Amino acid sequence: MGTLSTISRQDGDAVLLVCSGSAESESADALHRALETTHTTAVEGSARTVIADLRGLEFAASSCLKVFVSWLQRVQKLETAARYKVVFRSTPQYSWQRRSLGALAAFAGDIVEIRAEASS
Amino acid sequence: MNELKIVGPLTNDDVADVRRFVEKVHQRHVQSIDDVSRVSMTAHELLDNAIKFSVDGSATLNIAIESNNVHITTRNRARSTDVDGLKKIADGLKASPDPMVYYLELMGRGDVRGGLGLGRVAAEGEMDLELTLDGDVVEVHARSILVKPQ
Repeated sequence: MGTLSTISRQDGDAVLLVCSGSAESESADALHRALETTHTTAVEGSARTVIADLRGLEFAASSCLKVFVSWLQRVQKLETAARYKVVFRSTPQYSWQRRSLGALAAFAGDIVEIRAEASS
Repeated sequence: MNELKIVGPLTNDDVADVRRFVEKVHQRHVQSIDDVSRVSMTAHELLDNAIKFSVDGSATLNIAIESNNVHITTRNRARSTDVDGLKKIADGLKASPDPMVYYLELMGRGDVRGGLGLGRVAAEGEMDLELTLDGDVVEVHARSILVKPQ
């Protein structure tokens, strides 16, 4: 599993962000740029939802969790009409996701939803 | 008792490799996947901080598992100003009745260099944290009970 890789694209009235690899501390700047692009695409396209697919993300260091937190804070600060929902898609294959995404949902429960894949 | 000791100098580039190594080793000795994840995440965050705050780029990591207790310890030389900041966070976590509440508070603050990692270890990793200082050597010790004993 290599370094962080991100793909962001419009998907109907949603924006899809796929993160894979590993979000180490030194990936924080790259993740920040990817979330910046995703946020701009979502706001300019009046998206109702951003789906952040983390199923291929082996790990995220706390420096990268901080980047996700800053993104969520930005979404929370948007006017109600412009605010979008953030759906995190996760997998039980990587145990950290349940705990870390649970914390992000506790932090921003008004805009965050977790969709966990069923255990195989 | 199983004990794993990794002695530096370790740099940022080593942290991910160490985490994967810790995960691989403990998959053989710890029965619960969630426990393995807690141990490797804690090793990662403590080592990341130890290297970040080290004055000479050197840090050591020690992981010991005895029966159902896991002890994860990092040591590094640090500036007293950096240690003060970390100690404040560790004390805050200890004083908080629920580490998750304090962790969420840390998330909302932008001024906590290294603090979110400690909060994560306490809240997500369910570890008790102790920070001690001996001269300019700071030792961070995380301890927890494994859900499934060895």
